[in-house]
Amino acid sequence: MTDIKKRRRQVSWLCFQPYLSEEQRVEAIQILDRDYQTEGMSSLIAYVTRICSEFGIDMSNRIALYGQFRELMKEETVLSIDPLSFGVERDHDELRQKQAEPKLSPFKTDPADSTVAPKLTAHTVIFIYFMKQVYTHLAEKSALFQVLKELSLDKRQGKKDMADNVNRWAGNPNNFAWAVGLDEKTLASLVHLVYTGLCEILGPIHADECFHKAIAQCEKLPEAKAFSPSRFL
Amino acid sequence: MSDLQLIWVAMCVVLVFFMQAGFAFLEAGAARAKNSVNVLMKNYMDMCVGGLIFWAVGFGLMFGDNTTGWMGIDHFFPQRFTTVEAVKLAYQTMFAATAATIVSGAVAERMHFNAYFIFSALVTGIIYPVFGSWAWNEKGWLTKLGFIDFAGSTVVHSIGAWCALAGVMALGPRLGRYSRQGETRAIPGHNLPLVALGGFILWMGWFGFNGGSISTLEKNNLGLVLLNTHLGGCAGGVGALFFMAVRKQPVLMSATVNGSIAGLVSITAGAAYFSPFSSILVGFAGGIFYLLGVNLLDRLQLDDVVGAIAVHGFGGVWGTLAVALFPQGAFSYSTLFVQLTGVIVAFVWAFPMAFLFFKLLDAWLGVRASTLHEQRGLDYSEHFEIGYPEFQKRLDSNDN
Repeated sequence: MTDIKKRRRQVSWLCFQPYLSEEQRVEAIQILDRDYQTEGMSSLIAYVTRICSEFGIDMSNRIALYGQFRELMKEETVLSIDPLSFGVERDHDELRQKQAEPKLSPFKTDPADSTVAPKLTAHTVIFIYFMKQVYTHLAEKSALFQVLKELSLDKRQGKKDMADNVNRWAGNPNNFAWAVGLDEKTLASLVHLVYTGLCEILGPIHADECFHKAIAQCEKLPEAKAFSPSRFL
Repeated sequence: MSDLQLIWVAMCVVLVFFMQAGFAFLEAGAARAKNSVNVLMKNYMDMCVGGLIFWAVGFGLMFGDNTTGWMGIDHFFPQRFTTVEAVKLAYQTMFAATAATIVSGAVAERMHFNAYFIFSALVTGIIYPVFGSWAWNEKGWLTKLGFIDFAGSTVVHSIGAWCALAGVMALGPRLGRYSRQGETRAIPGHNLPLVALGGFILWMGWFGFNGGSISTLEKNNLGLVLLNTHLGGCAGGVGALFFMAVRKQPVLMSATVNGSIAGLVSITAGAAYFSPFSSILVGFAGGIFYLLGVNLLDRLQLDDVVGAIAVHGFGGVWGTLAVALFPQGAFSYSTLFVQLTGVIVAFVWAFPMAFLFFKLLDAWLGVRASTLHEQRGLDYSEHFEIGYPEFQKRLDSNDN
């Protein structure tokens, strides 16, 4: 196991300790290993968001958790425990077996991720989750980026920043570090662009369905109380 | 005008007014649920703004003293009338609103309401009455050429359709309507029963539309006008159905309804002059021309939501030419030439003017709704009203 992965588990264990039972924290680490293998900050944000949603952790705590997570991930911070020596022990074999499997991650880690300050406003969280939902439900993933790149270069549709953001997203579809710090208007214009792209690929009826589903999922997030996903529309 | 005819024309005012409800239902039903309020509002405001503008300006331009043959120059903001004049004004106001409302269906689901509102006023205030003064004013230059358009296949329907064509071209298609491979994607309307109801109401109103256009009860056979109108509508529906069946296409209800309306549009130019048999042929061909028109427009990627251009434009052109092709007396090339001139002039006047107005409105206000307003639906984004709130909520919750 690489150090960074071990550290992510430890940080997860520590961060969720005040809110989750031991069993729940084990489950959280399993989710981390299974679904959040990329090392970018956005991946951690998405992970924290998911764990909080699944285990009902309050919104106010969640914002603090993002910061805490980021802080503990810094190398100079000394961690006092190793989760593998505690409750996770019973899952140790299973986890070790998983770690032994070759990881065929198609995504490269963006080194800039670790330097991005996670100014995680509610609209950023909603945006990232929304885009992940849309992307997950889409069958023709590569077609989406091809269309988005073309649309973002179209002067009527996009601006230079838009094209940059699309390229960064296309470079690593599960990494949304580039979205952190962008204002609501910019994110909304990206949502516009994605909708246009979906209409091109799927047609308006299926694009609407895809958006409906993603919005419905986003509305379950506690952040939706602070920032309704509809505000992107 | 005899008292009997006056009462009949007054009744026709009501019938033609009710056509607006037919247009509203047909267009709203053919649009998606999220745009239904927007479509209804456009139709409703066509009547409201059309009534005011046509009274203020349109009537004077169309039926005022036309010394040059190009447009009337008096009777603006009219205040005093005889009974006959008042009924005529009311009747013509309904026609003006009909011309304007043809546009609303074609540009549905993607046009800003405020821009449409202004455009509708320009249609009833300038585009429609100026052409009307050429063709229906007794001193109009087309009238003097011998152009025949009994109740408005060209004057009302084609003018509306060419304005709609300009709108469709200026706006562009709805998002995703055409794939990159050039395929046309179906975007089904939300309520086909409304489409059928709209078709029935329009058909009923058409008896007033054609029936009220008689100059005198004696000169034009009212019974024949009503019969021809009905036969034209029947044959249009059958023609569309037949054409779909022959081409082994699904026999669509919406296309059949539109086919019958295309038949009614076709019969309008010559309802007082055709024989019943000619009316059937004209209506039947009108239904087929409608479907050919829809195919052509789709091939050109011109997204007309309700098929208004094919129904009113193609049907209008065919009906106007049919007056020369199915004459009461001997066929005459000169009559055909005059009819063709009227058809071409209508396009040359209405289409560029409408396109110019659309472009000016686009530069001033923007005519196209934003991408996500289109996604969310114009009911919410333009009016803050949802046509079917409970249904919408249920739909959302089912997605979870």
